[in-house]
Amino acid sequence: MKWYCDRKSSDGVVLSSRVRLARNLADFPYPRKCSEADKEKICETVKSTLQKLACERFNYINMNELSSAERSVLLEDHLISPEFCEGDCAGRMLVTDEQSTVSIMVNEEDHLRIQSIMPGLDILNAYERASSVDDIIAGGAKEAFDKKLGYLTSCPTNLGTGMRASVMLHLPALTSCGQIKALVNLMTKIGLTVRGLYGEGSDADGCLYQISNQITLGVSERDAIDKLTNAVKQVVERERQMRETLLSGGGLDFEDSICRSYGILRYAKKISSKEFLKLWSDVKFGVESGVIKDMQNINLTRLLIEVMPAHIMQKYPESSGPAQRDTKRAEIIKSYFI
Amino acid sequence: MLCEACGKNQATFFYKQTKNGYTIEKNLCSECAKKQGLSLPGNLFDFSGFGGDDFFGGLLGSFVGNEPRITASETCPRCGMTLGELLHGGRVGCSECYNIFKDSLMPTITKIHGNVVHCGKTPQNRDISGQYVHDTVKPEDSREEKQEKSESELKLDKLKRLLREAIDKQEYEDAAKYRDEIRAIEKQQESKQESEDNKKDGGDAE
Ligand SMILES: [Zn+2]
Ligand SMILES: [Zn+2]
Repeated sequence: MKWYCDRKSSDGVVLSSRVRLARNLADFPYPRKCSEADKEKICETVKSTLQKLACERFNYINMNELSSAERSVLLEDHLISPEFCEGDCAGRMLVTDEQSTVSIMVNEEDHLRIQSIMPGLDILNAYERASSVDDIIAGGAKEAFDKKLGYLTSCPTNLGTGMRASVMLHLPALTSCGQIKALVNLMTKIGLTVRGLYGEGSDADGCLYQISNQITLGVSERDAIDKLTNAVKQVVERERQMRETLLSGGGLDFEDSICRSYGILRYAKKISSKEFLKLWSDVKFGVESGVIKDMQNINLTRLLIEVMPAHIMQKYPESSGPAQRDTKRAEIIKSYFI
Repeated sequence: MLCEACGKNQATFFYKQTKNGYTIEKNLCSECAKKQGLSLPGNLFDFSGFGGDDFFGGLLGSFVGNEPRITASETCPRCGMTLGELLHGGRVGCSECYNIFKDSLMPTITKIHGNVVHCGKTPQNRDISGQYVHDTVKPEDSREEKQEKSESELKLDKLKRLLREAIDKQEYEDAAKYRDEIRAIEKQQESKQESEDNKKDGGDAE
């Protein structure tokens, strides 16, 4: 099951936890310096190792054979990085398991980016899943590793564990109380990074943020995961406190604004991406604070992903323009309320 | 002062390379510093959390007090990466690059991550808690370094904060003074570290 189809991704402040491990094979130059033939060999090595040593079945997708719409769907699913579907995709392969809990980007910036996404706050589980695939690869191919520098990576910022762990959070109360800048500063001081998931600049559309670890060398995976988990728990706590304050202090005005967003989201005939993100954020906040009572069974995270442009185009190939998509978006939202 | 590279933005970063007695100084805006590989990818520069923090104080040092030894002819025999290309793109071309360009890369790696060695999982050992089962390095080594801040480190933190403030206020003469002091202290520390490393290597021989 894809991470966003799981109800756990829609239960609260934390939507998902993702771990990415950067790995390279010792016998080849890194993707930006290796030949097309080498890239083919790397894909072959990964494929044959998994087929030989893994108990489960994997799917192997040649990125070059996908349409740009299909690539965008993978991007919106958070299964691949923007860099992975940019430009010429020759030699790039995506490996996924049947359950979509783990994927490998082959020949991105590093030979392998092994990634696992779990719904909710569950970084350790995501790590274990990605790490188990790493173990299989290491059993069939020599990984580039140095005793002092750890796993060798294309970018020196990933040296060491090669692990980038990140958590996706919905922070409407901290956002509306102007606390994000303070949060960014605080997280930066303890070696974590905060960035908005959608939109540019400081105003993150949908109040969606990602917090991730910054340092990978000299810190064990376990310590980095514990540190990130604890920091996220504290952010969640602050968000909850701020929500209570808003709820008790905002009174009728606050409830009114949430219910207006709910009305538009539910009954509008066309909604743009940007407007949707704002309404979605208000409604999610409303459901979780008890202001909106008839949406408890709706997976809002799934809704979030399924009304993104590429997902709409995949479902309705004829809706190629933004205007048509805005209409389809409103229709899809309506289908969630039946 | 305007950025030398683009001539459009305010220069906020001083960069100095010394090689064979002659010195190249660059005054760049953050964009151009980024382009020339003098900084790290990401939004690190946009954050205001520099202060006395170890990690970000360290980052500042990576383009202020740093003296990579530039040799234009250096090329990785395995992947063809040149030092210029490496500094420009901020990415190595293969594992061997870490050996070939060690002198240029190590100060930067230390500035990013701290003066530490890998801790955690290895291809042979799945332990993620950093228990050194196979390794010769004991965990206490890195822990101690992290906890105890020596007097010179505290002074370094303070100087870096002052430097940052001076750059912000565009007081470049003060900034240059702080930069030189930082460099002197770092040099001291490096030579101290080197002699310790030598001791350690000798003791750990299998
Ligand atoms: Zn410039
Ligand atoms: Zn190389």
